[in-house]
Amino acid sequence: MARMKFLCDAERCIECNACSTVCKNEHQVPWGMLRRRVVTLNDGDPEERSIAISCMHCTDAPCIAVCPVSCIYQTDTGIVLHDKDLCIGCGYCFYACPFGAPQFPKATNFGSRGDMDKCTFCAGGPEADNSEEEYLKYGRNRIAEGKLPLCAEVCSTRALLAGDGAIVADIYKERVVKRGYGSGAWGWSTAYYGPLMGE
Amino acid sequence: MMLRGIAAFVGVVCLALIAWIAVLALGPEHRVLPTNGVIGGQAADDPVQGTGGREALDQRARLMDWRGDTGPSPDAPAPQAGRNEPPLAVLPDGGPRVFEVSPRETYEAWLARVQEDDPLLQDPAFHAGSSTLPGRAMQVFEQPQGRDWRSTRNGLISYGGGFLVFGVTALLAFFLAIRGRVEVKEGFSGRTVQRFNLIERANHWMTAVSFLLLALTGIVILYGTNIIRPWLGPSLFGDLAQGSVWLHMALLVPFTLGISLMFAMWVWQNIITGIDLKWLKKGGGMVNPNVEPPPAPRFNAGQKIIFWLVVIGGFTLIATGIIMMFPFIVFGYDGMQLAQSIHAGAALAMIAVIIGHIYIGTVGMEGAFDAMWSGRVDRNWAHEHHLIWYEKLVRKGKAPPEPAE
Repeated sequence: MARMKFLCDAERCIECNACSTVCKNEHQVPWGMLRRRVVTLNDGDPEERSIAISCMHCTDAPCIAVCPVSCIYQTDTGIVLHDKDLCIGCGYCFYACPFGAPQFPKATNFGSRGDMDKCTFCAGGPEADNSEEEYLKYGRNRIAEGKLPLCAEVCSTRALLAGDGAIVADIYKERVVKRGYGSGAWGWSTAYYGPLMGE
Repeated sequence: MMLRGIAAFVGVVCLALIAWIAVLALGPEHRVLPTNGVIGGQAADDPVQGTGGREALDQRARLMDWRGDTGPSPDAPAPQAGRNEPPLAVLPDGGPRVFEVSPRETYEAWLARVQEDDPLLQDPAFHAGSSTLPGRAMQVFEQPQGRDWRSTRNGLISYGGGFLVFGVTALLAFFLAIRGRVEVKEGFSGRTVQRFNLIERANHWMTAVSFLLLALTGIVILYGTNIIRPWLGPSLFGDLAQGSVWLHMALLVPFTLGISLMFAMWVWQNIITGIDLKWLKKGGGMVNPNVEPPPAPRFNAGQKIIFWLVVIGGFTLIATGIIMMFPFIVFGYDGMQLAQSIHAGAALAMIAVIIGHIYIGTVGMEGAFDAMWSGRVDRNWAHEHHLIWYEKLVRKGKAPPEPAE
């Protein structure tokens, strides 16, 4: 059973921001909105680490639970998608999202912040795959073409991994064994095992 | 008798609703289950299920493996990039694939991998650093409390609000069924005195209409997806919700103006004094029909309590609402989440308070509604419920001194 996940190897990410840039280009994401970004923790310290982060396509996703119009949904492969035709731009998904993924065209909330936009795991939206309509709203649907998200496939250091959770976890574990160090899968406990962590 | 019968019925309905909410609240927390295949359909409503071609995706995922293993080597098989695969949702036989197992089992299988992934997992923690990319709160890597906010909103606030609103309604309904209306004991005299002037009444109704619409649109935002969406369908409900959020914010202007004017006009007459304690001790002469209503100035203790709840609640709602109109400009995640929780909690408490206020101003007490509608109340009503105020009116020559027969 495939369960799509992102894993960023913090020991490999060099903060080149190629993932963020290529995502904006591939999906024609408008100004001021970022589907993927790179966060640098402990900048300047020996502990410094850069990690690329976007929607993690959580299990028991908080954004879906709080959406006042139920416009966000999850596929049987774990990908969290949304319907821009229903979105009212309230911004609650951003309060709930542990990773700051949802993005809005407007910074202030006078009535609406505009239709939410976020990482689709390159899987488009509810419209027909790779239709003009889908492309204009959600960007390219690479999953329907048998391709993984571009941010991961473009990553020059192979820091960012995307695909079935079991496969990317195996790749990462193998790496840690070979090189002898690793700081773990950042964000995975919150994203994929959140319901278990509180108990 | 008719009125009491209706009241008892309303009370029983409210109790049934409370019991239903209790069943929902005590059950396990609602979990998000997968609903769709990747080609979607309108959110969870029109699910087209199934992903074909997972093998192609898995092949590509393996390309990310250690170059030493997957790179070109005479011994290893050349890596395959899953290109030119047919669109995933289209299967060899052309039909949509359904879930391999049920959504619940899919969800549980995802969680079950916690054992295998355990060596990779860190404790959930708040992490913030810096980001060279522009945007608000972009420097925050992880804020696990987003899940807590979700539980508070969907749990404590949603269910608590239901208990509060239906609980207060049930109490009032049973009170009316047992006690009946608070009547003017001396009967109506037919002569009236001015209680609220035109500005006071206009301001009251502007605030009242704003509040009712704010409450209704707020209910659409908090509960709509559970209680209205199933009836209207996703598209129509989307329009309703869009209109609601717009109206909710537009109404900030009349509501703020109304609450501010109320505060300015009535604050001096609403200072709590010793008279109010005596009034409260006797239940205002409203709880027990055999108790004489204690003397009260223009506003009795009950009205003063409403006044202060409306002022404090109103300004709390305005402040938290304005914070939410400018998200993440002053506050971070903690502040925004707290603002939303306070806003929703205070709003539901205000709805309960206003239900009580509407009750006593209409069916609960004979002759009370005229005060805010025509602005004039019956002389006997004023004499009975606001003796100190009435005597002041008599001294000023604005009211007849003797009880009219």
